[in-house]
Amino acid sequence: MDLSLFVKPGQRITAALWNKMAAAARSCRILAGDGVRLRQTPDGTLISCSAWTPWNHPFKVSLSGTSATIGRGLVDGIEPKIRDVPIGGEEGKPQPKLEIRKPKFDDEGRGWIAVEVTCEKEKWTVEEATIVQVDDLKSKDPLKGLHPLVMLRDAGGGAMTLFQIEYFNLQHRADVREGGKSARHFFWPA
Amino acid sequence: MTIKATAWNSAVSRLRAGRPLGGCRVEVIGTPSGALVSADPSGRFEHPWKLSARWQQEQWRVFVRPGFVNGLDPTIPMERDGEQKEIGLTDPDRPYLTPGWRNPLASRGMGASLAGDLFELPAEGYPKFFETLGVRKAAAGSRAVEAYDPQGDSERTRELRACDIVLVTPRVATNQQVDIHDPFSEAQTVTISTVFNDSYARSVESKHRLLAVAKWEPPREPTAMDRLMGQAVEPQTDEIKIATLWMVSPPNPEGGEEAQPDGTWVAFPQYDVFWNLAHAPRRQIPAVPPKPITLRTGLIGGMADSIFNAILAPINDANSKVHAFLNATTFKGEYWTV
Repeated sequence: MDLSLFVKPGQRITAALWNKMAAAARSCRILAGDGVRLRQTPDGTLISCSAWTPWNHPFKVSLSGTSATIGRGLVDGIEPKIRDVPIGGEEGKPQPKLEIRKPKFDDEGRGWIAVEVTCEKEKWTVEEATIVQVDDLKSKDPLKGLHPLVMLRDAGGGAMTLFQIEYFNLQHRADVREGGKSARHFFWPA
Repeated sequence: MTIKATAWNSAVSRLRAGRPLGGCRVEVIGTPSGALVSADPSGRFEHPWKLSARWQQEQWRVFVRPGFVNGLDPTIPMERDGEQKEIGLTDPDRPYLTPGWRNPLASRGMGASLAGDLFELPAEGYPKFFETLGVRKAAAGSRAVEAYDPQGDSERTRELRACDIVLVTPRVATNQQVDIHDPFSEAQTVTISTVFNDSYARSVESKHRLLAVAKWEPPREPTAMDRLMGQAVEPQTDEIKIATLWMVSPPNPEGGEEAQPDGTWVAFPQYDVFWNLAHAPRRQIPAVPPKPITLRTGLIGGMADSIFNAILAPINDANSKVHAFLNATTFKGEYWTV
């Protein structure tokens, strides 16, 4: 704050000084920024800040050493599996872990943990979904479609950096070509 | 009226004591119109594409939290080891954008009326939020009627600059080649063939790039008529604006209207995209190039109506074929959030 606002005995309160005081009072008004709520009362302004808590979104991947756990998520209402156990776990069974002892990376050190859907041959609807670790998001089998959940970057020395890609449950449709010889698989948030 | 110095000074002290200050997990930005209190961002969820602008080595550098398109991190073109390279957003040595700025407060130029009068165009303007921060009024143009502003301009002396952060996906472009055969015969044959152009896609060596531009304009897609006339120039990129970065100066910055953002300015990002993206062309590029379409149009003038009708039917058929052909030869892509 401008310290020239303070006066000495006998000093005149000029228009300029008065205006400076008014500007200083104005600059002290409280405005609500990001994550803040204000409630003005006769006794003052109540400032409330949002408490940030971790968001446990669908398909949230946590990496611990060489294994990854994936939060419960759905593709067309089907819960993907790791070794035949749904990713969110089953009654009496712990949440399954995807073991990545030898992670697959492409030439630039990129790999993905992805959900792989397998479509039914006639209607091309999702029959089953599994979690896989891959170094390429293209599938050779037209009935299978891959959608990345996280990217893994090779950080050297066996370490990996994880970047979350998917935050929502998913819907899927296949765009079938050449009588089923090729297909494009589209995913979008449910 | 006499005000005692002690009374005045105690009012100033009370005012001073009432200033909000940033404490733990709270950020306070002082403005002439008030103090903007925000919760500290360190503990909150950070979405893909989140921008972080820093003043480093006498320039503004914009870092982007990795966002993904089809599971791939876009690249930023940067000089590394004396070479121009495409650096991925997930690269351990984080790439950054060095933007050029536009002035959204300045007039966009001059216009001319049908009567030949020259006039000044209004400025681009800015979101109302920046009024609260004390950004000066944007140029209204010489035709505008000035609205009464009770707050006046005297307190709004901050400058504003902006740039756009854009995601660019190189793609195959097509254009139509129209060949007219046998011009001297009574029947004229027109062949429309498709030419593919992937020179940009091959030159950039990156599937998706992030660029900072002063002002982004969406790529202009050719119309059906452009295609039919063989004048269509399809853009070789699909583009989407990720965010606009606004820079607010301190009050009365040095240089005034010509001031350029330096370390004393504050950055405010405004996002257009929050989530990761998928991108695909509406059509797949065919393994075999599309077969050229050939039309034979009878040029018989001055005949009876019945003959015209007989001629119009094949022309209408040909018209439908042309439309179908032209629509099938664009590989414009779409983005969607995933």
